[in-house]
Amino acid sequence: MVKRIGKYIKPKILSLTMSDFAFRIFMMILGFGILFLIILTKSKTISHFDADPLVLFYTIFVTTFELSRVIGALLYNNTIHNKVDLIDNGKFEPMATFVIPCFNEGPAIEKTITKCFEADYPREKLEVIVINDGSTDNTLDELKRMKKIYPDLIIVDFKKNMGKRHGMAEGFFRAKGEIIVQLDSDSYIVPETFRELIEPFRNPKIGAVCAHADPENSSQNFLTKMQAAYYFMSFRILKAAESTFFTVFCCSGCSSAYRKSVVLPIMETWLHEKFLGLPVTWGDDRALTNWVLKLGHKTIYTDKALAYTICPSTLRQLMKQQVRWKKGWFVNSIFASKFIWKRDPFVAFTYFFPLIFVTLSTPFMATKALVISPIFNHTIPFYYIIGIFLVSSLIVVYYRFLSRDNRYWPYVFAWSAINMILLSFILFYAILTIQNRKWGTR
Amino acid sequence: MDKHLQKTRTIFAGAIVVLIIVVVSGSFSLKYNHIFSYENFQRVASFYSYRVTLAQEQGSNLLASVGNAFGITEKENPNIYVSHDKALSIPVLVYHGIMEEQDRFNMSAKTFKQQMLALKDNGYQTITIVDFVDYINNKKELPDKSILITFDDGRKDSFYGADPILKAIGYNAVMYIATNFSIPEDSTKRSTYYLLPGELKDMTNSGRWEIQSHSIQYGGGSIPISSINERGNFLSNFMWNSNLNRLETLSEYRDRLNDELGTSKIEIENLLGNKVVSFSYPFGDYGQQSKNNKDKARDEINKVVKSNYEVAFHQIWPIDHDYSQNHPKDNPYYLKRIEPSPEWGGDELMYWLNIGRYKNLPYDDTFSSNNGWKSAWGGISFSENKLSTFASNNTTGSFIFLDGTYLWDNYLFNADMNWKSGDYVFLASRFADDNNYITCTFSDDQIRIDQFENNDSIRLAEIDNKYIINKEKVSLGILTDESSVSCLIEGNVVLKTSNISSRLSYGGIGFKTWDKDSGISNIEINNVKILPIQANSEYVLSTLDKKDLVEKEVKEEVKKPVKKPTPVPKPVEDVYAKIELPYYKSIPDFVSKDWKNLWGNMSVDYNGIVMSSNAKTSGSFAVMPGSKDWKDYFYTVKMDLVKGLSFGLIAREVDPENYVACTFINYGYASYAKLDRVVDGKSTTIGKFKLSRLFPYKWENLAFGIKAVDKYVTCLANGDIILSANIPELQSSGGAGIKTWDETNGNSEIKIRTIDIQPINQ
Repeated sequence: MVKRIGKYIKPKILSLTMSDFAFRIFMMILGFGILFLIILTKSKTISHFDADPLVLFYTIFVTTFELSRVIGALLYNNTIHNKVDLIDNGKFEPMATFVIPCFNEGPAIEKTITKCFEADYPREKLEVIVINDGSTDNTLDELKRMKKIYPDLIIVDFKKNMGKRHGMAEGFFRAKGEIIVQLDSDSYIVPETFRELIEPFRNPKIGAVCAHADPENSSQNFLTKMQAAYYFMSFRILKAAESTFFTVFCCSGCSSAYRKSVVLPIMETWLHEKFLGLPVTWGDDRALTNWVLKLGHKTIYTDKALAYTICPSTLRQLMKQQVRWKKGWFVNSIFASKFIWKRDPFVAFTYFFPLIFVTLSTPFMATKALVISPIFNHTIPFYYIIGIFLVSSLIVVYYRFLSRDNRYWPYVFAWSAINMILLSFILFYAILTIQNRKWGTR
Repeated sequence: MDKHLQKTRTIFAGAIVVLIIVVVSGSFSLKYNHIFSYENFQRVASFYSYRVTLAQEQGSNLLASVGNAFGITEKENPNIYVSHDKALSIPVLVYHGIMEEQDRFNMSAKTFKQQMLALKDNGYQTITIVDFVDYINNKKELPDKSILITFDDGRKDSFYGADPILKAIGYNAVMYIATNFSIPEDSTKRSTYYLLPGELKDMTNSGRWEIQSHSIQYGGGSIPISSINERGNFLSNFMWNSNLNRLETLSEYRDRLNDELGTSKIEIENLLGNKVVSFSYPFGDYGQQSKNNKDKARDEINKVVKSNYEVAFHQIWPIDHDYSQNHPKDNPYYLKRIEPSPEWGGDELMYWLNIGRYKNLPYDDTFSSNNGWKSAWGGISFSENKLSTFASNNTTGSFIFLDGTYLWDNYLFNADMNWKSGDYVFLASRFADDNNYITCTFSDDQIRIDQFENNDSIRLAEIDNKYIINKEKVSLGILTDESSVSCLIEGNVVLKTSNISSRLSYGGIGFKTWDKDSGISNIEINNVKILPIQANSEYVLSTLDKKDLVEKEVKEEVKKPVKKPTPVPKPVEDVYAKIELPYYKSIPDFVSKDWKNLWGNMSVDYNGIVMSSNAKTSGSFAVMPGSKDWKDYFYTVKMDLVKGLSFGLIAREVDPENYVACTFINYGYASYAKLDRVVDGKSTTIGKFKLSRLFPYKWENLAFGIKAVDKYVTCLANGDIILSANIPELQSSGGAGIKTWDETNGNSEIKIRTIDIQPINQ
């Protein structure tokens, strides 16, 4: 049996305290209450839609879609990979290689490497490869210092900056491990939970596993607190919902594991991927995950393996990151839409295509409700805002239900608000500037 | 694994389907739910906030007030004060709606609250309609300061706006609903404006509201009454049957009345299980407003009302020619209601209630303020402790009476006055209403006793006037004692008769003046004194100051030449030809020479009329110069609002600075209409009306109308009457026009598809 330690392990129902139990019951009641309020809000707006059934269809579609994510996440605990320890085939300890591309990460790299070597896993079955992608700071010196502490550390030094993909590919080619754990240079996996990232590969159909990531610097300021809420929501709810159907579309670049035999054959193609004639310099993680899916393998998310990463702490950095992610989402959604309907029609039609529709239409509907209607029809977007607030509330209730201790839940509302007025429009900025291929992860 | 995944997919898909079903069906079934509505939350919240403030005003601290409001701390709910005196008359209030912003017809919740608190503070207590009916039928006595509060039309805003304060002070009210809107047969066509069955049930169950009938009101209460698209009130007119091309027959009319009045009663009783004993005449029309059925309407309606209801309310404030309160002896089918003005605070309401209360005898009035003198005809004014009544420019005389005197029976009524001008002065006694009273009639030549009974007048006695009267300071009187009447000059009985009709056995006092020419008659009254006759009239007479009368010598009559105004020649109007009514034009036969464009742009051609603003104007304005002589007409356009905020229909246009207009402003869901009167370029808004949410969002091919009949102006949108007002100073003739407007220059445009102007002949 897998050893599980401390607070990182999700408690079983039986071990819940009475207080936790009461809290969960309360959250469930609150959830149904909010669902009722959502329906009530719809009912009050319905007379407006008598003249416009398309808008009615749209609002019901969007609401159902968003609630379907919660339903998917609710089923996550019940999926087969969460019951893997029930079919205990004895020890499963394949050789694992950490691949860490880094560029000017002097201050952070020490912690990353230390945490790799501290992993709760036999040392002889661990390999750590760091690729210094032509750093111009003291990264190389730091690495050399680390090499003295951990002689097993493998350092690859690019004299000039090649880009993250090349760094990753280099590590993938060199890796001896059966499983490759790809980390960002400022991220690490909590050593006690490392096994949980490897465990799902017991199932031969699994091609990639994504760990649960939270920001290391959550408490720094308002923006990072908001991102802490967003990370929790996007991993534990959105990725969990994707994982329920074994189809996670993006195994996050900060901390994911791949089966080498799956990704190695497509490395060259992935490395030289182009979009509109130019090399793609973002969305590498999403692209790699999509290749795994395209090849017919399963990808999952595990909430048992925990990782930490540094999130942007200024608005400018956050916007840049968001633009990169949106570009990656856009390019890879085009890629995925070509095969996903054949590969997994259920996911394609209950999630993937609806998501594309909702993502692309949201900015238009937001513009109409928040800008055009108030100006031209003198209506206050009261119900629109209430609707968004209620859906966010429902997500918050589920968030609290999942993790009573996570104290960043109020920032879900802030994130929703910013998403409504800013982030959903960034997609269009991203699409318009898609030919700008500047490198840089952050 | 695949099997497990398949199971997960099935559960997920099932959950989504259930979710969609729950959301869609939930949304549609909650669409008309009234409990979880914004209005209802506001109602409950207002109630508690009123209770807290009321408890605080009664001296509790905040915590105790909150406790009291929520019924936690012990304190009896609103203490009900009951007078030990018996009510001699009962006032009935009628309200129509309670809106956020007050206008001419709708009260703000704040004003309504002020009025209710004033009633409470002055010891008034509400009664139920059942008690009221028993009181009118002489079956039950009620304490003094009992009052009945009613609402017409069954509007949601009335209930949600009024209920919190009524509940907070322990009052109840009666709601008159039109079942066509409030109990619709087709449940999909449910109004967001009128109360619906769920709400009516809750109201009844609260014990605070009694639901009574305002008839069915098919088609909103307005029906076609002639082949030329003329419309009229549904109860008092024969309906035009366009299929058979004739008016309905008397029996069809009776059937319709029975349906309107009988079925609505049954529908309410079946829905709510309460007794429907009263009726409120829609538009206050009990037959008097009929256009094509003047002979029968009143009798026919009365018959049907009688067979279905015990009482019916008709009169609506402010019409001053009647007593304002109700008495057990009154005709139960023509009971009166006071419509408090949205501008009245608590003091004004108290004033209007007080002047209608029974005035005790003996009664003196020296006119330091108006204690209830009302004009039924001609003019009335108060100045320097004097009451004047006079003929106005277009009346030959005047008639005023004193409210609160209805129950007086045997008394001496004496007045000191300055008979300034006019041939006749009348002192009225036993005044029941302006068709039933007795007068002592004084003129230079004659003294008479006239009895007026239901439009018939009988001369009971007359003699030549042989006395010299000092008109500048004369004392006149009338004494009514049982069936005898005496007329007095300077305290001397000069004429007496003793056979008045037994139906005129009680009633109040009044003054009447008359002259053969209009605008002449005028008296100024210094004081009045009314003394009750307890033992016999001789005693009362002996208490009066008496002056000896001097008989006049026979004189030659000298006639004054009468001045006649020389007719002013009419200035010759411009080239526009007179236009005859009815006037109907639609695409493609609009005539451009009918129109004169005063401002902005206008094009009239076979595509219709397009009016628009240009770069220099924010709107446009055009009139029909050939329509200046029109009097009463109904003017409808069918049009599109292409751009811009608003447009207005203009009627009674004398010149571009004098007219009335119905203006319709498209603000999306906040659209509204207003009725403006423009005098010498200055515009005054007389009424505003929020267009219901059901009104189309886009104004395309919609009908808007304005109707001017005598002094009444009505605005219509999409066939519904939305505003109407009585404008006493309105010019009696004037033409039609259209204007458009927007905030920005060059952004106003309408397209007119049809113009239909029908004459209204009263």
